[in-house]
Amino acid sequence: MATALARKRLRLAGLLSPISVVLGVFFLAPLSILLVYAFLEPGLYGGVEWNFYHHNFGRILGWADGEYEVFDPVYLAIFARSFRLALTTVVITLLLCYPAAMWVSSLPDRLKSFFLFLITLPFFASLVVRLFAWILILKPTGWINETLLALGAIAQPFDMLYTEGAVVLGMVYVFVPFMFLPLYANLEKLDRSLLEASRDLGAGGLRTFLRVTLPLSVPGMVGGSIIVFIPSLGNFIVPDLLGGAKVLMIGNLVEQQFLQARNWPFGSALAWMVMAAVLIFLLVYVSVVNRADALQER
Amino acid sequence: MISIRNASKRFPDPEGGVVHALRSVSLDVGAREFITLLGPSGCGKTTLLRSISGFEDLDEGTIAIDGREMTHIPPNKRPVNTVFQNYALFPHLTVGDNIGYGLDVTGCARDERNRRVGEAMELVGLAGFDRRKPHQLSGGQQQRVALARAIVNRPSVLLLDEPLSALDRKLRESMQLELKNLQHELGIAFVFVTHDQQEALTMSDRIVVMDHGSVQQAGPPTEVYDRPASVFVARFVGEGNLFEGELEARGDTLALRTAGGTGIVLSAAGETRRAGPATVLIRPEDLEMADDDSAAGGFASLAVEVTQTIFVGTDFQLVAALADGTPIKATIRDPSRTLARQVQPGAHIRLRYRLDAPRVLAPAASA
Repeated sequence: MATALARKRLRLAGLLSPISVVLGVFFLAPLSILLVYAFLEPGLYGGVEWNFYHHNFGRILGWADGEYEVFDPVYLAIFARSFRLALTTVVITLLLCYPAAMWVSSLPDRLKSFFLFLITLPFFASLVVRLFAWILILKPTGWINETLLALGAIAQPFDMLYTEGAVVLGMVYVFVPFMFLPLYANLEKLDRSLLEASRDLGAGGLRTFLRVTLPLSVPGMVGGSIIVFIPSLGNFIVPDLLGGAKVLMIGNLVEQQFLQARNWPFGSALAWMVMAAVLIFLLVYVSVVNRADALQER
Repeated sequence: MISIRNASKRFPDPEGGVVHALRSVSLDVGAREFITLLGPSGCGKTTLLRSISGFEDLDEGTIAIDGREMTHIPPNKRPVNTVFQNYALFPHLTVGDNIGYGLDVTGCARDERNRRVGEAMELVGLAGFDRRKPHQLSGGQQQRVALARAIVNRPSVLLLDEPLSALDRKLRESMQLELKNLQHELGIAFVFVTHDQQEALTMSDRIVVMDHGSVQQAGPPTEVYDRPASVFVARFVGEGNLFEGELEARGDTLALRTAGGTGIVLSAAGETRRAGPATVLIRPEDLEMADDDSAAGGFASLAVEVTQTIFVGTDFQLVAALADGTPIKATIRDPSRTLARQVQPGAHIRLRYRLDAPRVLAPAASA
């Protein structure tokens, strides 16, 4: 018994050590460095002074008014905007992908693989190139505005680029496959005979959807939402290209602190705030979903 | 109760051809009848059931239930309920909510709904399980939930799609009896699909044997078993020794001469086919060991060489060969175990049968 257990443990260690080493060295260690830096004083010309210093968080949350560091509500406003835009992205991708995933999951197998291929097709082209294409479409002299002007529908070009709308559009565009795939995987394994059972018991199409399909696809919706929400919240490239200087998100803020302001401690503090916020948000989200699930069980 | 006229249904097959799942099937089901659709997989029995429940739309023909035209009515508007093969219980709902699903849909009042759910659970022996989830139940219990969920809506007809196939033999046999009793109690029609002939014989008021999308024979179990309409039915329902050959009439008796030269004599009474190519069926249980060569009045006998004897509990299965090598099976009741002691492989014995036991069928080539 003891040797069997020991062998089992050894096997587990063998299987898990490669990923543990990679994540430990290249993820946990840097993260710890960031955590230490977040509580250090920024050096005058970049770098850090090895003094305990809590005003990095004070600048964000409201207690810093030292010589160099003052509380500025703009950081909280950017946090709030990032949450708002990320949630909007989640809701829109969910609404776009759910009907599509439902439809594809009902197709014969050969067509399924074809549409799955189509969904993953955007990954074959560079993200930056695809976002630049959106700039060409949305800019004041882009073809939407040119067309509307030529038709006489508008007198002045619309400001579409460098708006929150453009950022959400870009993120929806980028993250649609991330929402689609978990939803599809969930709906595809939904037992069709359950839908037939519901119909057989007198329920119409809408009621069958609301009482059978929808509750049983909650895991897919939760999975897709999390996978879209996290990278949306910390996204840097979409707001950089389509939001410009006007629509900053947390990712841009962190980038600015590290590369432009050369204030590594403040950048670290911001990065840790994002992580903490995501973690708290997810814990609340998952517990609400579980609560709803438990409520259904009564 | 159910009246099906000339129902036809075609499906495209993967190779680009067409499968005729139903070929002009007509069938009537009585108000309190337990009817079984029996046949091998792909014979059309499930398609026929799904046409009644509304999940398949007929290409041609009509279906009426309770005298109302139902051919193109969607499944949720038909007065029938189905017990699905894999039960199809809603995994996210409790047993009580599963059973109450149909009543919730029709907007049944809360008190009434709970009372009827309780009654249905009582009826299938699941009282007190209403808070459980389906995955917490055994296969047999899930089966009962599926049953309760269907009958709680008081359908005119209950459709059952191989509901017992996932259960082990003991449980299956007790469920067969329970279903039969339940049908009596409810006083509604059951349409039961199975590929298990034993199940069909045990439970049905009437068996509909299907093959290749058409009805081969429909009748009470004894009729289907005793007077199969074709070689296919004879093979599918029960075991049988089938002999092919040329039939000739000899007064009150008929004789079949096989290609191997064996002659099988049988009574002409009740047989319509009297000459020409034919197949003769002798059931294994119609054969018994003859004490001597002389065939007594009303009996005929065959000389065989024993190949094997198998004890199956109540009976012995005797596998033997005729003089021309044709295998023949006999089921022999042998309480004194004489057979076990005396008849060894290689022994030459005679098997006799009553003259009116064999049945003449159309030759197998036409099936």
